[in-house]
Amino acid sequence: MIIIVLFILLIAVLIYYQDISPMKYNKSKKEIIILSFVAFFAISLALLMAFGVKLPSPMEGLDSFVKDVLKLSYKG
Amino acid sequence: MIDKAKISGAQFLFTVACYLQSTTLITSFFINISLHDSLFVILTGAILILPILFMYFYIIKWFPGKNLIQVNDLVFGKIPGKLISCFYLFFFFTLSSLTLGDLGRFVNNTFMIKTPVSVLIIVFIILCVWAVRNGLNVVTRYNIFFSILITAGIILDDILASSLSNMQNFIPIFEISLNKYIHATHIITAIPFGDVIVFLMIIPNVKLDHKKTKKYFLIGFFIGVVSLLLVVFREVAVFGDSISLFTFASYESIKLIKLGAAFTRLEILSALILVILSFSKTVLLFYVTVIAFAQIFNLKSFKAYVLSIGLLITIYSLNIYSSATKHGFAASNIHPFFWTFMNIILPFLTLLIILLRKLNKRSTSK
Repeated sequence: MIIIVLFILLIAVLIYYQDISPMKYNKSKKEIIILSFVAFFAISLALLMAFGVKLPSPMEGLDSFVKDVLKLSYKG
Repeated sequence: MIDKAKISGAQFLFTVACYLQSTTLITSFFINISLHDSLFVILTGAILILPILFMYFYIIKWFPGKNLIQVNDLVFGKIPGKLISCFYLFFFFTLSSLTLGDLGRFVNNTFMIKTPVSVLIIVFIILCVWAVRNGLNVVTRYNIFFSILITAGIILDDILASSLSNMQNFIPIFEISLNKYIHATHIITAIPFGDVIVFLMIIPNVKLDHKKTKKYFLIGFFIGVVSLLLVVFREVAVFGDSISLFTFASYESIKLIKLGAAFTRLEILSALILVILSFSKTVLLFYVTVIAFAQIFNLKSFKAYVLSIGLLITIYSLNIYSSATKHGFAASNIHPFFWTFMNIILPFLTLLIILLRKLNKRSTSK
């Protein structure tokens, strides 16, 4: 697990130096906020997965909605 | 346009062909239902999707140089357009994750059994990140080579498997019930064929005019359908109705080929073909997802977001379904409805609004 966490942190560092840092020079505040949010969200999810937390899948939720609420399915 | 790269007609044609050829990995979604009548199901699906393809081109003709996300903004207005574009973003994101997951699981189930799926998916996504960061030209450049190689591979596999084929496996024709026929046709029309809606995101980057782009697209589509027919023909000829026992029937049919003592384990050829195809499809879907994201938020460049979105796709592909059975069930029974909404109903709504506005304009000018 330590290797996975280190790998995720390495990606976080990479995103910061390769993607976020150059934006500071361009003074694009909006882009920094959007990218930071996406990166933070992705890194958090990756860390949760690494720690064994079972993440809910939006696709399984959508499938249940289509099947059980809209009643659209070939098999019940 | 966020990515100013221009691709040639040949690049576009073979990208469409490669995209459809990659369907050969997921034939089990419909083949389990249509069994030995699968060839008719594919042909019916290909005919049914043609008016939808013409609809896509009619929409794009009204907005030259604009991709699907930009068209949504112009047709539906700023806020409703963004909302519909968010649906498409989720759709492209899900498609990328499903394709990447299928690719990882295929490699894990067939020839790298001891390697964890997560490791395989990470390796693939690193390559995808590199390609997407370099833009559309790199994403589509190798598809010419891939498609020619793969078409040759499919023909060679069909010739080699001919000794194992039994033509009796195709009869009696039209044996499945009408309900099953409709079900299987719905799957193939909505999922692999309808997915070509992703090309509405890259059509503005093609160097050709509208008419030629349409022609090249249809040729690519034709190559893809013929390749799919050749693969399914081999699968049915070799296995008959027992085809439903296999998840990767194309790969399993090649596994049986033995040419004397020297040429055995030829399935590696088939595996290589399937990996290349799925990789090219994943890269394109990943690129389209990033472009859609950048366009929705009006960003200056897409490159900075590739790594972060790539990480999200990796997490989603590992987490999308808790089991392969759930995925298989959803793909065969539930997804065709959601895919129909995204690939057919939403574009139809777009077309309807375009036509209504056109009528309105005419009546006011009179």
